[in-house]
Amino acid sequence: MVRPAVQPPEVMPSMYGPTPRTCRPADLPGMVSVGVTELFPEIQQGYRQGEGVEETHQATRDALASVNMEMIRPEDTVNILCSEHGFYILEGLHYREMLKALGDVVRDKTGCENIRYRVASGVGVREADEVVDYFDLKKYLNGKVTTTHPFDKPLPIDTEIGTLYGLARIYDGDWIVHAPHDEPRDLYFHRMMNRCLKAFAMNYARYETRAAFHGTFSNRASNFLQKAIFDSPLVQEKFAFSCILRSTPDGIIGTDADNDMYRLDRRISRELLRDYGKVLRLVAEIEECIAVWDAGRWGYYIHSGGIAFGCLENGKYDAFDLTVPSAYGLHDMVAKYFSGEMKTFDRIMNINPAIKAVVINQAWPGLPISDVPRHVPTVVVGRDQADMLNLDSTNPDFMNHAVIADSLETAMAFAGKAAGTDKVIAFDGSFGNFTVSPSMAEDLAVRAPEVSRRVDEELFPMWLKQRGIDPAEA
Amino acid sequence: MKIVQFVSKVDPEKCNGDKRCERLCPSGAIKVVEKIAVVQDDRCVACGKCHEVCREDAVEMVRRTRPLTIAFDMQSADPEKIQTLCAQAGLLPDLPLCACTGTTVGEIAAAVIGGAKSPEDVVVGTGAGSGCGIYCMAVIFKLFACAGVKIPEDPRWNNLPMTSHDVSEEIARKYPEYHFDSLA
Repeated sequence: MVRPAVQPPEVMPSMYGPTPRTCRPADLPGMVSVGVTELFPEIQQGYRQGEGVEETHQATRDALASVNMEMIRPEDTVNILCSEHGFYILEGLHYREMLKALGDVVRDKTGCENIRYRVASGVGVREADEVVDYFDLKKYLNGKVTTTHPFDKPLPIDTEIGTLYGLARIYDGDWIVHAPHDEPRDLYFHRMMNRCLKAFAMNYARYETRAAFHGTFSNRASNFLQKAIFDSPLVQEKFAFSCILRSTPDGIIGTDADNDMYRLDRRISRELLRDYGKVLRLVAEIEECIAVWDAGRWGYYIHSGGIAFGCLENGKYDAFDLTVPSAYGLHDMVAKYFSGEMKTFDRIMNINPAIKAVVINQAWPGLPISDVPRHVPTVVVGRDQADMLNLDSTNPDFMNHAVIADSLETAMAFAGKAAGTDKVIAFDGSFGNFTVSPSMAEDLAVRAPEVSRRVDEELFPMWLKQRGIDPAEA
Repeated sequence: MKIVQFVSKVDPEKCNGDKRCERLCPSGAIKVVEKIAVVQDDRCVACGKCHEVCREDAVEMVRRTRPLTIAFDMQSADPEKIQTLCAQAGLLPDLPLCACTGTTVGEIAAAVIGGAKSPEDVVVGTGAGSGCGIYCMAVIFKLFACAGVKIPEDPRWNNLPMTSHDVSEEIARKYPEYHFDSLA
C-alpha cells in the first residue's frame, strides 16, 4: 500500500504562477505515496498522466456512438464548449484528446465542418489563451479555437428567475456541445447538485452571474442558477448534447455522453458520490496535518488523491449531505452571529482545525486565500512566490501574515515545528496517490476500512435518496 | 478597506490605444486619451486587469512610493441607516463581503448611503470589487437596488441585484430542494 513517493503531474508554466519548481514534496527524503485503490479497492482504477490518452480517444468515440446528432446540419455552426480546468487534470492530455475525438465524430456523423472550440476560463483574462498555446489547440483540434473569460462580452439570458448573464462567445453558434470534465473539485459549493451543469453558471457565465452564485444565493440555492440557465429557451434551443470526461479519484476512466443532460448528470453524480465520497470522508477524518500546495492553479483547487485542498479545508462539513445548510462554514458563522456567540465575522472561511500549517511550494495567486495565513501558520517557498502574492489584488495583505523560506526543506522543517506534527499531505496534482509522510500514510490506511463501510452502508444511500437518484438507473 | 501598494504604469511607446484596459478597469482609473492609455493614480486600485489584458505588454504594475489607503469613513455613517439598508437587502452588516479585501456589507452600505452612484464609486471608496469581482459584485448591485439608486449603464457591468430571497414563492414551492429561504 505504501511505496516511495510517485512523481506527480508536471506543472504547466503560466503567467499566473511562479516558475515551476524543480524540488517538490515527492522529492523530499522520507515522503511516500499511498494508493487510492489500495485504500479503497472498490474504486475503479484510472489512467494517470502519460497513459491512456489513445484509450480516451476511443472511449469518446464509443460514448458518442449512441448520441443523436441529427439536429446538426452540414451548414450549421457548432460550438464545443471547453473548460480550461480540464487541461490541468493529470497534465491535460486526456481532456485534449476527448475534445479532439468529439470534434472528429461530429464532423463524421453530420458532415458539419464549422466546428468551433470555445475555451472558457476560471478567473483570469488570459488563462484560456495560455492553455490554447501550451496545448497547441489550434493545430491539434483541427477547428477554430477561441477563448473567453468572465469579463467578456455579455449575453442576457431570460430564465425562470429573471435575467442572468452568459458569455456571448459561448452561445454564438447554432449548436452548443457541453464538454466539461466531471472531477468534483469545489464540491462545498456545488454540493453535487446539478454538478454536470455547473459551467452554465460559472465558466460559461459573466462575472456578475458568478458573483450571484457565490455571494447572493445561499449555498444550496446557488445551484439553481445553472439549472435556470440551462433550462432557458435560449440554451435549450441550442443544446445538442453533452460529452464529459470521466474520472475517479484514481484517475481518468473514460467518457460519457448523452442528449439528455439531466440523465447524464444523475448517472455521473451517482458514481462521483460513491467514489469521491469515500476519499472525501477519509480526508475529513484527518485530525492533524501540514498541507503543502504544489501545483498550478489556486491553492484550493490543487489535488491529492483526486481531492482538492478546498475539500480538506471544508472537510468538517459533509458537503454531500443536503440537510447541511452550508458546506463551507458560513451557516455556522451566521448561526453563531445571531446567537451572539460571534460579535463580528472574523473570517470568511471556517478553516478545518485539522490543518495545523500550510506550505506553499507553488500555487497561483488570483483567488482570495488570505484567511489561510491569517489563521494557520503559513510558509511561502521562494521570494518569487512571495512577490506574486504581494502583487496580487485578491490577497493584498497575505504576506503580512505568512513567512518566506528559501527552500522547500526549510519550509517543511519550520512548518513541522509550528504545527507540532509530522503528518504531511501534499496537494501536488496527483490522482491515484496521496503524496504523504509515513505517519500520514499510516493514519489514512487505518481509517479507510471504516470510512468505506460507513459510506457504503449509511452515507451513499442517504446522498442518493436526497437527490432522488435511483441506484439502479443506468 | 484596502491598502494599495502598487499602481499601473503605461509605456506610451508600446500602447496602441485599443482600449482593452479601459473596458475592464473597475475603478475608471485607466482611460485612453488621444490613443494612449493614461492612468489616474489616485483611482488605481491595482487590480492588475489592465496589465493582464494588454496584448502589447504596455502596462506594468509598479510599487507606489506611498501606499494608497482606501477606506470609507464609517464615522460619517449613520448606523441605523446602514442597518436598515442591509436588512432590506437581506444581508448582515458585519459579513466580510469582499473576500479579497475583507470589506464588509456594512461598509458598502455606508458608501451607498454616503453618495456612491455606481460600482466604480464603491471600488474607489471601499476597495470592494478591486480583486476577483466574483464574490462581491452581486451584493453591491443589490445594495444599490435597495437604496433606490439607478446605476448608470456601462459596458463594465450588468446590473444583477438578484438574491435567493428574491425568488418568487411559486418557484420556491416548485423547487423546495434548493432552500431559497435559507440564510446560509
